[in-house]
Amino acid sequence: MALAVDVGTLGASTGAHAGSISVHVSAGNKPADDAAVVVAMAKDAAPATVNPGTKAVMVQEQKQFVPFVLPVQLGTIVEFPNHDLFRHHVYSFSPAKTFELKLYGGGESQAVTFDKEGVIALGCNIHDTMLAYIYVVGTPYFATTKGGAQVLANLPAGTYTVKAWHPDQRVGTQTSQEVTVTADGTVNVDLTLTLKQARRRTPGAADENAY
Amino acid sequence: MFKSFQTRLVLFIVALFALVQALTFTAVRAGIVNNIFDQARDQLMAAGGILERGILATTEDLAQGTSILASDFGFRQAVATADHSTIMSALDNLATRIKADRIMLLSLEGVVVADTGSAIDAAARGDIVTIGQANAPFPFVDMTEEAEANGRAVSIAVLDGRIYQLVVVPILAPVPIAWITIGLEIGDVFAGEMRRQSTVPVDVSFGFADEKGDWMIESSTIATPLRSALAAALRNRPLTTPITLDLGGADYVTVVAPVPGPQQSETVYAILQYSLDVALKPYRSLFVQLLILAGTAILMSFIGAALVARSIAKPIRRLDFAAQRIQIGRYTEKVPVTHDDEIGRLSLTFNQMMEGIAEREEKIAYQARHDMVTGLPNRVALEAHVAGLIVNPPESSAGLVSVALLQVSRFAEINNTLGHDTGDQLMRKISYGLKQAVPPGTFIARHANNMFALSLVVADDEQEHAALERIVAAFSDPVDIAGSNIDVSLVAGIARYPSHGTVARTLLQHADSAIFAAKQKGLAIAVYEATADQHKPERLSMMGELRQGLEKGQFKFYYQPKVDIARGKITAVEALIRWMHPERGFMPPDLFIPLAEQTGNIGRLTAWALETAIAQSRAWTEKGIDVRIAVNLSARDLMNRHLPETIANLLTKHRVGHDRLILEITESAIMEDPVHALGVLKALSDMGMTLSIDDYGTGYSSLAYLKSLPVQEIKIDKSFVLKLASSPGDEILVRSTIELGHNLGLKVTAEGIEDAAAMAILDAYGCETGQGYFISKPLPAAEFETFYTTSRWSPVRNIRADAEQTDEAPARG
Repeated sequence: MALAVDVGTLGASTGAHAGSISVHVSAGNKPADDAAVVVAMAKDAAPATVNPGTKAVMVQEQKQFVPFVLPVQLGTIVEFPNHDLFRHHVYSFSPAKTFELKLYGGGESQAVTFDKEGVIALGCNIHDTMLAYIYVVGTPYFATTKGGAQVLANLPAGTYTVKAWHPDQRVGTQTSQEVTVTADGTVNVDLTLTLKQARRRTPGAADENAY
Repeated sequence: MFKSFQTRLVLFIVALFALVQALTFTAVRAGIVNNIFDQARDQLMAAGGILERGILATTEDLAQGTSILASDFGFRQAVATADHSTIMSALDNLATRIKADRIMLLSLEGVVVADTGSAIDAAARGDIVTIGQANAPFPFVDMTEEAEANGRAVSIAVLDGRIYQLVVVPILAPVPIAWITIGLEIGDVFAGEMRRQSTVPVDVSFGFADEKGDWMIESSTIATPLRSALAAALRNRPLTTPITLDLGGADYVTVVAPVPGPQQSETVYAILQYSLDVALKPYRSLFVQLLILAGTAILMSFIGAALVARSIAKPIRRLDFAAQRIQIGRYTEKVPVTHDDEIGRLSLTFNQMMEGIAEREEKIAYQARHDMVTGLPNRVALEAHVAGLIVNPPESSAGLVSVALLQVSRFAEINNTLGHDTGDQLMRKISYGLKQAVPPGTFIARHANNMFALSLVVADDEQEHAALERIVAAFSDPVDIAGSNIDVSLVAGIARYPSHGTVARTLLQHADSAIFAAKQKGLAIAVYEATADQHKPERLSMMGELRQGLEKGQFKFYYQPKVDIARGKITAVEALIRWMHPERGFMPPDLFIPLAEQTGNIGRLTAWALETAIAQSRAWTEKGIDVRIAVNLSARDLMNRHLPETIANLLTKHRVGHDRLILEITESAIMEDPVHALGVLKALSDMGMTLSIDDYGTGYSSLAYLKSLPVQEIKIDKSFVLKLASSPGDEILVRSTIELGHNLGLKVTAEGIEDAAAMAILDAYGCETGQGYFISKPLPAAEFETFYTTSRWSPVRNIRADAEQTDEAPARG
């Protein structure tokens, strides 16, 4: 819900003379699940950073990170509120952001600013089953897919590289497509992901439904 | 060796039994061993299952430990920071904590980042762990893939020539950032632990074969020296079925099972072994018992076989002895029949055989000493008996031994004409008659075919003579054989011990001589006289004299006229030989002809007779005396194949026609050798000579038989003709003989006509020719010539003869 609002907000802020890209992501002849993220990056543009103070939230709740995949724009501050009654120890050894939020209790929240593009795998040192990804991109045009499809709207006319990312995608199978977006026009892009059989160490099967 | 049947039988049975025992024992042992093998195999299989679970449990433990360590935050942090020296020290620390023998850190791509190597000892010493072959690919791709899929992989694999229990787990931060591989080297301790988990005392080894097929045994519960033996035994061996391996002289049931592992590794095998010696231990006492049992059984079989063999061999030995007894001619001892079995039956048969042999031997012995026809003792027995009497004369005879031979006259003729059956019957009758007639104590024997012998027990010559007269008299009547009467006459010759000989054989010879003498003298009984013995030099000299007599003309023919009865005229003469001995005077033919036949001088006599008769025929023809001359031939002459030729030559020589000669032959002469005689007779008959059967009626030839002979005439014996007028029986006989003769186409001559009545009867019966004293006695040639011309029978005095014939006619009626 929050994500949809964000996208809407992002699309609205670009103003008139905007086109859109309709992306369809498939994995194994099926539409990709909702962990997939689609990103459009203007060609030859430098990584775009958010306004300082822009925030996003990664909740710890019932020994789960929610959402499972959180795409954010470069410079976003992500809050890590603990909604459980016990403490968590959030960490990341990912090169894009190595950090450690040492044990903190329920009701407490800590924040980390993500200032480098890349994938950050989040874990909890005392709950091995907890796993989430923060995907930091240098463009305002991104969104998680819904049913393997998403429309990136309000794009100024120009040439974009459209790619899809998924936490379970096999190394070296990144796919992208270059498209030209015209004002008021919609470009269709089909992308295919190669996923590995990820083994999620989850106590339940409610991950994806949680988004 | 083993010559005795008994020994061989015992050996055979015992050997057979021992063989059976050995086979049984072998079979039982093989069965047990097989069973043990199966049990061992099953136990090994079970142990294999336990082992597998054991391995799984240990690897599980290892995996658990490894996983825990892999998620250690500090360790993960070190790995995540990629600080190499920190990583190495962390690995070192980890190795110490979980007592791992080898730890490797792999990148997510499967490249070895860090490796403690196999220098476990170095780790134990706390030395800095050297980095192993970094940047080399981790060989067991199967494991990393499995770990990626399942979060971990456990396996047993061969690394750098050693067998490891390997665990691969990811290092999660929280996503996998690397793989950590921990290896526990499988050593003897591991094998020992595996064995402890099995319920049976199996030996456990782990090993693998290199690319050359050589086995490495890395972990084992068996003693070190046996490992190389095991490795050698496994080389090039199929591993799919349980096998028995000989290690250090002991047999092990061996099951070799592959341990699941990565494909990239040489396959590690778990080798489970179960010692058969150990397995068989509980059966050892059973085997000992079986051996004792077999030994006892063989011993019992030996005793049993010995008993059986003895029970068989003993009666066989008895039979053997019995056979030896039979060999030396003892038949009295019987073989005891003890059992009602084959041996018993054999013994019984043996006894019967013995009786049979004894019986037959007795019979043969009896036959050797007896005549089979009459059942009387034979000559052999006789000689023995006489010899016995000479040695030991009976008291009643006062040392006198008297031997009498009795010859049955004309026996050969009877045999030939009436058959041997009749002859045999006759001899049996005579022997029976003899038994009736002889005085008590007389030994009767059949001495020769036609001769009986008596050994008389008599006190003196008188008694002896009386006895013999009685005996000879006993056979004066004809003997009845199957309805026909046969005239029998016995001639007896006597020889006495010691006056006529001191040896049995000599006595018998002399008795034989006495018979000859008796026949010469026309006596029924004669006692041996040395002077009359034909075998004596006197007799031989007589034959010499006969030859001389022939040369000196002492022999003459007397001619007895033969008259044609119907015409009353002389038609022929019978030439009768006369010997006028210068010293002995007139010698009757009966005296010298048999002697001449016996001594082979008959040929000379016959030659003389034929020459003389034929010459006379020629002479008379020239004088106008027309008579045919009849010459007698002896039996010996008929054996002479050259006789017809000789006669033909003589006839030619004297220019005498063949029809002028009549040849008279007695029935008995023909019967002596009918085959040869017939040939000669046929030749003579073909030459045109008249053949006449002489003395017809005294023999036994039937007229029918005579018909088959080439004869033209029969001469009725004078004995029938002499009393023709007074004896009605003779009359019938003569008449029927004449009629039968005529019916057969034969002419009939009657000899011995002594009176006119006989002549008349013969004339009435149609008898062609007559001869006898009524006509004329035999006359010398000159006298006959006168008789021929002057007598009433003269064919040249026709008128007178006719007149006389007319005168005689009424008397004939």
